[in-house]
Amino acid sequence: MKNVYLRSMLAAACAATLAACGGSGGNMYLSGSVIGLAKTGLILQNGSEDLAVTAGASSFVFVNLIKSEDRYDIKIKQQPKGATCTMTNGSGKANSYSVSTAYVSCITDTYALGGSVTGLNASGLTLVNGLSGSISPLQGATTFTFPAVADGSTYNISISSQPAGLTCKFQGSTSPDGHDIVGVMGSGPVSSLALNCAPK
Amino acid sequence: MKSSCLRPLAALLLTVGLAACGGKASYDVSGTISGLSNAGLVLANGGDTVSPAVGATTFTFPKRIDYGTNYTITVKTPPAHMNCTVSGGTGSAGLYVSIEAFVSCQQNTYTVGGTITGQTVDGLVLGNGSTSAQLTVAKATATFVMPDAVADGNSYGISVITNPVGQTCTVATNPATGLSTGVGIMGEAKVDTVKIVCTTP
Repeated sequence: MKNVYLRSMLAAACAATLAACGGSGGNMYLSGSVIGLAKTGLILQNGSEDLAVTAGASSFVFVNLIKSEDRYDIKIKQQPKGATCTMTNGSGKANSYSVSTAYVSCITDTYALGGSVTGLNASGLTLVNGLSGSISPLQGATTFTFPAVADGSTYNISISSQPAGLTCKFQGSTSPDGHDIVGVMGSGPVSSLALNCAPK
Repeated sequence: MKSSCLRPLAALLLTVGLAACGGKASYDVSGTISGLSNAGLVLANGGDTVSPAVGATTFTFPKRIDYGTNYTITVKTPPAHMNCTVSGGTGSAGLYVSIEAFVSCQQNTYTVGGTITGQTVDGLVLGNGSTSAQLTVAKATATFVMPDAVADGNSYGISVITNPVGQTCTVATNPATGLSTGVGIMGEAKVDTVKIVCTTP
Protein backbone atom coordinates (compact mmCIF):
# COMPACT_ATOMS: atom_id res chain seq x y z
CA MET A 1 0.00 0.00 0.00
CA LYS A 2 2.72 2.40 1.02
CA ASN A 3 4.65 1.42 -2.05
CA VAL A 4 1.79 2.42 -4.35
CA TYR A 5 1.46 5.74 -2.57
CA LEU A 6 5.14 6.46 -2.91
CA ARG A 7 5.14 5.51 -6.54
CA SER A 8 2.33 7.85 -7.45
CA MET A 9 4.02 10.63 -5.50
CA LEU A 10 7.16 10.02 -7.47
CA ALA A 11 5.24 9.96 -10.77
CA ALA A 12 3.53 13.23 -9.95
CA ALA A 13 6.79 14.88 -9.00
CA CYS A 14 8.37 13.58 -12.17
CA ALA A 15 5.56 14.93 -14.33
CA ALA A 16 5.74 18.33 -12.66
CA THR A 17 9.50 18.48 -13.19
CA LEU A 18 9.20 17.49 -16.82
CA ALA A 19 6.50 20.06 -17.47
CA ALA A 20 8.61 22.78 -15.93
CA CYS A 21 11.66 21.64 -17.88
CA GLY A 22 9.79 21.47 -21.15
CA GLY A 23 9.20 25.21 -21.18
CA SER A 24 12.52 26.46 -19.99
CA GLY A 25 13.74 27.45 -23.44
CA GLY A 26 10.46 29.00 -24.47
CA ASN A 27 9.00 26.63 -27.01
CA MET A 28 5.48 27.86 -27.63
CA TYR A 29 4.11 30.51 -29.94
CA LEU A 30 1.72 32.98 -28.36
CA SER A 31 -1.02 33.35 -30.94
CA GLY A 32 -4.68 34.07 -31.44
CA SER A 33 -7.50 34.75 -33.87
CA VAL A 34 -8.63 38.03 -35.36
CA ILE A 35 -12.23 38.64 -36.41
CA GLY A 36 -13.57 41.54 -38.46
CA LEU A 37 -10.40 43.60 -38.85
CA ALA A 38 -10.94 45.73 -41.95
CA LYS A 39 -8.78 48.70 -40.98
CA THR A 40 -5.06 49.32 -40.57
CA GLY A 41 -3.16 50.37 -37.49
CA LEU A 42 -3.87 47.67 -34.90
CA ILE A 43 -0.91 47.04 -32.59
CA LEU A 44 -0.97 44.30 -29.95
CA GLN A 45 1.43 44.14 -27.05
CA ASN A 46 2.60 41.33 -24.78
CA GLY A 47 5.08 42.50 -22.19
CA SER A 48 7.76 44.38 -24.07
CA GLU A 49 6.90 42.98 -27.49
CA ASP A 50 4.72 44.89 -29.95
CA LEU A 51 3.01 43.22 -32.87
CA ALA A 52 1.35 45.07 -35.74
CA VAL A 53 -1.65 43.29 -37.25
CA THR A 54 -2.59 44.12 -40.82
CA ALA A 55 -6.08 44.77 -42.13
CA GLY A 56 -7.82 41.58 -43.16
CA ALA A 57 -5.67 39.34 -40.92
CA SER A 58 -7.47 36.38 -39.40
CA SER A 59 -4.77 35.48 -36.87
CA PHE A 60 -1.70 36.84 -35.09
CA VAL A 61 1.48 35.20 -33.76
CA PHE A 62 4.00 36.92 -31.50
CA VAL A 63 7.60 36.42 -32.58
CA ASN A 64 9.03 35.79 -29.10
CA LEU A 65 8.46 32.26 -27.84
CA ILE A 66 6.83 31.75 -24.51
CA LYS A 67 7.50 28.97 -22.00
CA SER A 68 5.16 26.89 -19.96
CA GLU A 69 3.87 28.54 -16.78
CA ASP A 70 4.92 32.01 -18.00
CA ARG A 71 2.25 34.63 -17.52
CA TYR A 72 1.17 36.46 -20.65
CA ASP A 73 -1.01 39.52 -20.98
CA ILE A 74 -1.88 40.58 -24.52
CA LYS A 75 -3.13 44.14 -24.69
CA ILE A 76 -4.32 46.39 -27.47
CA LYS A 77 -1.60 49.02 -27.60
CA GLN A 78 -3.12 50.93 -30.52
CA GLN A 79 -6.60 50.69 -32.02
CA PRO A 80 -6.91 50.61 -35.80
CA LYS A 81 -7.94 53.85 -37.45
CA GLY A 82 -11.70 53.73 -37.96
CA ALA A 83 -12.40 50.58 -35.96
CA THR A 84 -12.63 49.42 -32.37
CA CYS A 85 -11.15 46.10 -31.30
CA THR A 86 -11.59 44.17 -28.06
CA MET A 87 -9.39 41.40 -26.69
CA THR A 88 -10.80 38.22 -25.18
CA ASN A 89 -8.79 35.55 -23.32
CA GLY A 90 -5.80 37.86 -23.64
CA SER A 91 -4.13 36.95 -20.35
CA GLY A 92 -3.28 33.79 -18.49
CA LYS A 93 -0.63 31.28 -17.62
CA ALA A 94 0.98 29.64 -20.62
CA ASN A 95 0.35 26.04 -21.48
CA SER A 96 0.01 24.30 -24.81
CA TYR A 97 -3.71 25.00 -24.87
CA SER A 98 -3.93 28.52 -23.48
CA VAL A 99 -1.32 30.11 -25.73
CA SER A 100 -3.64 30.05 -28.73
CA THR A 101 -6.99 30.91 -27.16
CA ALA A 102 -6.83 34.72 -27.35
CA TYR A 103 -8.99 36.44 -29.90
CA VAL A 104 -9.38 39.99 -31.08
CA SER A 105 -12.78 41.06 -32.30
CA CYS A 106 -12.98 44.28 -34.32
CA ILE A 107 -15.92 46.35 -35.44
CA THR A 108 -15.46 49.06 -38.04
CA ASP A 109 -16.80 52.41 -36.85
CA THR A 110 -20.03 53.48 -38.48
CA TYR A 111 -21.49 56.91 -39.10
CA ALA A 112 -24.81 58.30 -40.19
CA LEU A 113 -25.21 58.91 -43.92
CA GLY A 114 -27.95 61.09 -45.30
CA GLY A 115 -29.00 64.47 -46.51
CA SER A 116 -31.90 66.66 -47.47
CA VAL A 117 -35.03 65.88 -49.42
CA THR A 118 -37.26 68.49 -51.05
CA GLY A 119 -40.82 68.28 -52.38
CA LEU A 120 -41.71 65.08 -50.58
CA ASN A 121 -45.44 65.74 -50.29
CA ALA A 122 -46.57 62.16 -50.87
CA SER A 123 -45.88 58.85 -49.21
CA GLY A 124 -44.22 55.79 -50.65
CA LEU A 125 -40.55 56.73 -51.00
CA THR A 126 -38.09 53.96 -50.13
CA LEU A 127 -34.33 54.24 -50.40
CA VAL A 128 -31.99 51.25 -50.26
CA ASN A 129 -28.27 51.07 -49.69
CA GLY A 130 -27.98 47.80 -51.58
CA LEU A 131 -28.10 44.86 -49.20
CA SER A 132 -27.21 47.12 -46.29
CA GLY A 133 -30.70 48.19 -45.42
CA SER A 134 -33.56 50.41 -46.51
CA ILE A 135 -35.32 53.48 -45.15
CA SER A 136 -38.71 54.96 -45.99
CA PRO A 137 -38.79 58.71 -45.34
CA LEU A 138 -42.31 59.83 -44.45
CA GLN A 139 -44.39 62.31 -46.40
CA GLY A 140 -43.26 65.82 -45.45
CA ALA A 141 -39.79 64.71 -44.37
CA THR A 142 -37.00 67.15 -45.18
CA THR A 143 -34.09 64.88 -44.33
CA PHE A 144 -33.21 61.20 -44.65
CA THR A 145 -30.61 59.17 -42.79
CA PHE A 146 -29.07 55.72 -42.96
CA PRO A 147 -27.99 55.34 -39.35
CA ALA A 148 -24.85 53.23 -39.64
CA VAL A 149 -22.54 53.02 -42.63
CA ALA A 150 -19.04 51.67 -42.05
CA ASP A 151 -16.02 53.95 -42.30
CA GLY A 152 -14.37 53.51 -45.69
CA SER A 153 -17.12 51.44 -47.26
CA THR A 154 -18.61 52.26 -50.64
CA TYR A 155 -22.28 53.09 -50.56
CA ASN A 156 -24.78 53.15 -53.41
CA ILE A 157 -28.16 54.47 -52.40
CA SER A 158 -30.96 53.77 -54.85
CA ILE A 159 -34.59 54.74 -54.99
CA SER A 160 -36.41 51.43 -54.78
CA SER A 161 -39.88 52.95 -54.61
CA GLN A 162 -41.00 56.41 -55.77
CA PRO A 163 -43.60 58.40 -53.79
CA ALA A 164 -47.11 58.33 -55.30
CA GLY A 165 -47.30 60.80 -58.20
CA LEU A 166 -43.75 62.05 -57.71
CA THR A 167 -40.37 61.38 -59.25
CA CYS A 168 -37.36 61.88 -57.01
CA LYS A 169 -33.83 62.32 -58.26
CA PHE A 170 -30.49 62.52 -56.50
CA GLN A 171 -28.43 65.61 -57.19
CA GLY A 172 -25.08 64.60 -58.63
CA SER A 173 -26.26 61.17 -59.73
CA THR A 174 -24.35 59.68 -62.61
CA SER A 175 -27.45 57.81 -63.74
CA PRO A 176 -29.52 59.61 -66.40
CA ASP A 177 -32.70 59.04 -64.36
CA GLY A 178 -31.03 60.16 -61.13
CA HIS A 179 -32.14 57.05 -59.26
CA ASP A 180 -28.93 56.46 -57.33
CA ILE A 181 -25.95 58.11 -55.68
CA VAL A 182 -22.58 56.45 -55.14
CA GLY A 183 -19.79 57.43 -52.76
CA VAL A 184 -17.25 56.34 -50.20
CA MET A 185 -17.97 56.82 -46.50
CA GLY A 186 -15.40 58.92 -44.69
CA SER A 187 -14.45 58.97 -41.01
CA GLY A 188 -17.44 61.00 -39.92
CA PRO A 189 -21.14 61.50 -40.50
CA VAL A 190 -22.33 62.68 -43.91
CA SER A 191 -25.44 64.83 -44.37
CA SER A 192 -24.68 66.41 -47.72
CA LEU A 193 -26.69 64.18 -50.05
CA ALA A 194 -29.61 65.86 -51.77
CA LEU A 195 -32.78 64.31 -53.13
CA ASN A 196 -35.31 66.40 -55.04
CA CYS A 197 -38.86 65.23 -55.64
CA ALA A 198 -41.24 66.76 -58.16
CA PRO A 199 -44.63 65.83 -59.64
CA LYS A 200 -44.39 63.41 -62.54
CA MET B 1 -60.67 -19.03 -1.96
CA LYS B 2 -58.12 -16.97 -0.18
CA SER B 3 -55.23 -18.64 -1.88
CA SER B 4 -56.79 -18.34 -5.38
CA CYS B 5 -57.07 -14.57 -4.90
CA LEU B 6 -53.57 -14.17 -3.59
CA ARG B 7 -51.90 -15.98 -6.43
CA PRO B 8 -52.97 -13.68 -9.28
CA LEU B 9 -52.19 -10.68 -7.11
CA ALA B 10 -48.71 -11.94 -6.50
CA ALA B 11 -48.26 -12.60 -10.19
CA LEU B 12 -49.43 -9.10 -11.03
CA LEU B 13 -47.07 -7.53 -8.52
CA LEU B 14 -44.24 -9.56 -9.93
CA THR B 15 -45.00 -8.40 -13.46
CA VAL B 16 -45.13 -4.75 -12.43
CA GLY B 17 -41.94 -5.15 -10.48
CA LEU B 18 -40.15 -6.78 -13.40
CA ALA B 19 -41.34 -4.13 -15.79
CA ALA B 20 -39.81 -1.47 -13.58
CA CYS B 21 -36.59 -3.44 -13.28
CA GLY B 22 -36.40 -4.21 -16.99
CA GLY B 23 -35.67 -0.57 -17.75
CA LYS B 24 -38.63 -0.03 -20.06
CA ALA B 25 -37.94 3.68 -19.69
CA SER B 26 -39.40 6.07 -22.24
CA TYR B 27 -37.78 9.14 -23.74
CA ASP B 28 -38.96 12.49 -25.10
CA VAL B 29 -37.94 13.02 -28.72
CA SER B 30 -36.89 16.64 -28.44
CA GLY B 31 -34.35 19.27 -29.39
CA THR B 32 -33.52 22.91 -29.92
CA ILE B 33 -34.23 25.23 -32.86
CA SER B 34 -32.43 28.32 -34.06
CA GLY B 35 -33.52 30.94 -36.56
CA LEU B 36 -37.15 29.94 -36.95
CA SER B 37 -38.59 33.26 -38.09
CA ASN B 38 -41.30 32.06 -40.48
CA ALA B 39 -44.36 29.87 -39.99
CA GLY B 40 -44.91 26.42 -41.47
CA LEU B 41 -42.19 24.16 -40.08
CA VAL B 42 -43.28 20.55 -39.58
CA LEU B 43 -40.83 18.05 -38.12
CA ALA B 44 -41.45 14.32 -38.34
CA ASN B 45 -40.23 11.28 -36.46
CA GLY B 46 -41.72 8.41 -38.43
CA GLY B 47 -45.46 9.05 -38.35
CA ASP B 48 -45.27 11.42 -35.42
CA THR B 49 -45.15 15.13 -36.26
CA VAL B 50 -44.69 18.40 -34.41
CA SER B 51 -45.20 21.96 -35.68
CA PRO B 52 -43.04 24.44 -33.73
CA ALA B 53 -44.40 28.00 -33.72
CA VAL B 54 -42.53 30.99 -35.13
CA GLY B 55 -39.77 31.96 -32.71
CA ALA B 56 -39.75 28.59 -30.95
CA THR B 57 -36.36 27.56 -29.61
CA THR B 58 -37.28 24.03 -28.53
CA PHE B 59 -39.53 21.22 -29.70
CA THR B 60 -40.81 17.95 -28.29
CA PHE B 61 -42.73 15.34 -30.24
CA PRO B 62 -46.12 14.31 -28.77
CA LYS B 63 -45.14 10.64 -28.48
CA ARG B 64 -42.44 9.41 -26.15
CA ILE B 65 -40.40 6.42 -27.34
CA ASP B 66 -39.13 3.41 -25.41
CA TYR B 67 -35.53 2.59 -24.61
CA GLY B 68 -33.83 1.12 -27.65
CA THR B 69 -36.30 2.52 -30.16
CA ASN B 70 -34.69 4.17 -33.17
CA TYR B 71 -35.65 7.71 -34.04
CA THR B 72 -35.10 9.75 -37.19
CA ILE B 73 -36.09 13.39 -37.06
CA THR B 74 -36.65 14.93 -40.47
CA VAL B 75 -37.98 18.20 -41.86
CA LYS B 76 -41.33 17.19 -43.32
CA THR B 77 -42.25 20.74 -44.39
CA PRO B 78 -39.83 23.68 -44.27
CA PRO B 79 -41.06 27.08 -43.05
CA ALA B 80 -42.10 29.58 -45.72
CA HIS B 81 -39.04 31.13 -47.40
CA MET B 82 -36.67 29.07 -45.25
CA ASN B 83 -34.55 25.97 -45.26
CA CYS B 84 -33.95 23.96 -42.07
CA THR B 85 -31.36 21.28 -41.38
CA VAL B 86 -31.38 18.72 -38.57
CA SER B 87 -28.24 17.55 -36.81
CA GLY B 88 -28.16 14.81 -34.20
CA GLY B 89 -31.58 13.76 -35.41
CA THR B 90 -31.03 10.01 -35.64
CA GLY B 91 -30.17 7.45 -33.02
CA SER B 92 -31.44 4.95 -30.53
CA ALA B 93 -33.30 6.08 -27.42
CA GLY B 94 -31.20 5.63 -24.31
CA LEU B 95 -27.83 5.95 -25.99
CA TYR B 96 -27.66 9.40 -24.39
CA VAL B 97 -29.38 10.61 -21.24
CA SER B 98 -31.84 12.58 -23.37
CA ILE B 99 -32.58 13.05 -27.07
CA GLU B 100 -31.33 16.50 -28.07
CA ALA B 101 -31.45 17.15 -31.81
CA PHE B 102 -30.59 20.55 -33.26
CA VAL B 103 -32.63 22.21 -36.00
CA SER B 104 -31.09 25.22 -37.71
CA CYS B 105 -33.18 27.38 -40.05
CA GLN B 106 -31.99 29.99 -42.53
CA GLN B 107 -33.84 32.30 -44.86
CA ASN B 108 -33.53 31.14 -48.46
CA THR B 109 -31.19 33.26 -50.53
CA TYR B 110 -31.10 33.82 -54.26
CA THR B 111 -28.63 35.54 -56.53
CA VAL B 112 -29.17 38.85 -58.27
CA GLY B 113 -27.68 39.58 -61.66
CA GLY B 114 -28.48 40.47 -65.22
CA THR B 115 -27.09 41.49 -68.55
CA ILE B 116 -24.44 43.90 -69.75
CA THR B 117 -24.33 45.41 -73.20
CA GLY B 118 -21.74 47.57 -74.89
CA GLN B 119 -18.85 47.13 -72.46
CA THR B 120 -15.68 47.25 -74.55
CA VAL B 121 -13.17 48.10 -71.80
CA ASP B 122 -12.28 46.26 -68.58
CA GLY B 123 -12.89 47.80 -65.21
CA LEU B 124 -16.64 48.05 -64.66
CA VAL B 125 -17.39 47.70 -60.94
CA LEU B 126 -20.91 47.01 -59.69
CA GLY B 127 -21.99 47.39 -56.05
CA ASN B 128 -24.92 46.38 -53.90
CA GLY B 129 -24.61 48.46 -50.75
CA SER B 130 -21.93 49.06 -48.14
CA THR B 131 -21.71 45.62 -46.61
CA SER B 132 -21.66 43.25 -49.57
CA ALA B 133 -18.97 42.36 -52.06
CA GLN B 134 -18.54 44.34 -55.24
CA LEU B 135 -18.20 42.75 -58.64
CA THR B 136 -15.54 43.72 -61.17
CA VAL B 137 -16.61 42.85 -64.69
CA ALA B 138 -14.29 42.20 -67.62
CA LYS B 139 -15.09 43.64 -71.03
CA ALA B 140 -17.50 41.84 -73.33
CA THR B 141 -19.19 40.01 -70.48
CA ALA B 142 -22.78 39.29 -71.43
CA THR B 143 -24.23 38.32 -68.07
CA PHE B 144 -23.26 38.86 -64.45
CA VAL B 145 -24.20 37.56 -61.02
CA MET B 146 -23.40 39.55 -57.88
CA PRO B 147 -21.19 37.59 -55.43
CA ASP B 148 -23.44 37.90 -52.39
CA ALA B 149 -26.84 36.24 -52.56
CA VAL B 150 -29.87 38.11 -51.25
CA ALA B 151 -32.20 36.68 -48.62
CA ASP B 152 -35.82 36.22 -49.62
CA GLY B 153 -37.69 39.38 -48.62
CA ASN B 154 -34.61 41.62 -48.50
CA SER B 155 -34.12 44.72 -50.63
CA TYR B 156 -31.27 45.05 -53.07
CA GLY B 157 -29.98 47.91 -55.17
CA ILE B 158 -27.33 47.51 -57.83
CA SER B 159 -25.39 50.56 -58.99
CA VAL B 160 -22.39 51.26 -61.16
CA ILE B 161 -19.58 52.07 -58.72
CA THR B 162 -16.80 52.56 -61.26
CA ASN B 163 -17.06 53.00 -65.00
CA PRO B 164 -14.64 51.40 -67.46
CA VAL B 165 -12.11 54.00 -68.59
CA GLY B 166 -13.61 56.02 -71.44
CA GLN B 167 -17.05 54.48 -71.11
CA THR B 168 -20.21 55.36 -69.24
CA CYS B 169 -22.30 52.50 -67.88
CA THR B 170 -25.71 52.93 -66.32
CA VAL B 171 -28.32 50.71 -64.80
CA ALA B 172 -31.26 50.91 -67.20
CA THR B 173 -34.69 52.09 -66.12
CA ASN B 174 -37.57 49.67 -66.23
CA PRO B 175 -40.11 51.47 -68.45
CA ALA B 176 -43.00 49.66 -66.79
CA THR B 177 -42.25 50.94 -63.29
CA GLY B 178 -40.09 53.98 -63.93
CA LEU B 179 -37.66 52.48 -61.42
CA SER B 180 -34.16 51.25 -61.97
CA THR B 181 -33.89 47.62 -63.09
CA GLY B 182 -31.21 47.36 -60.36
CA VAL B 183 -33.60 47.70 -57.43
CA GLY B 184 -36.18 45.39 -55.94
CA ILE B 185 -37.16 43.07 -53.16
CA MET B 186 -35.95 39.50 -53.47
CA GLY B 187 -38.70 36.93 -54.07
CA GLU B 188 -38.53 33.15 -54.26
CA ALA B 189 -36.31 32.94 -57.33
CA LYS B 190 -33.08 34.42 -58.60
CA VAL B 191 -33.19 37.82 -60.26
CA ASP B 192 -31.48 38.08 -63.66
CA THR B 193 -33.20 41.16 -65.00
CA VAL B 194 -30.76 43.92 -64.03
CA LYS B 195 -29.75 45.69 -67.24
CA ILE B 196 -26.42 47.48 -67.51
CA VAL B 197 -25.91 49.55 -70.63
CA CYS B 198 -22.46 50.89 -71.50
CA THR B 199 -21.81 53.54 -74.08
CA THR B 200 -18.66 55.05 -75.51
CA PRO B 201 -19.07 58.77 -76.03
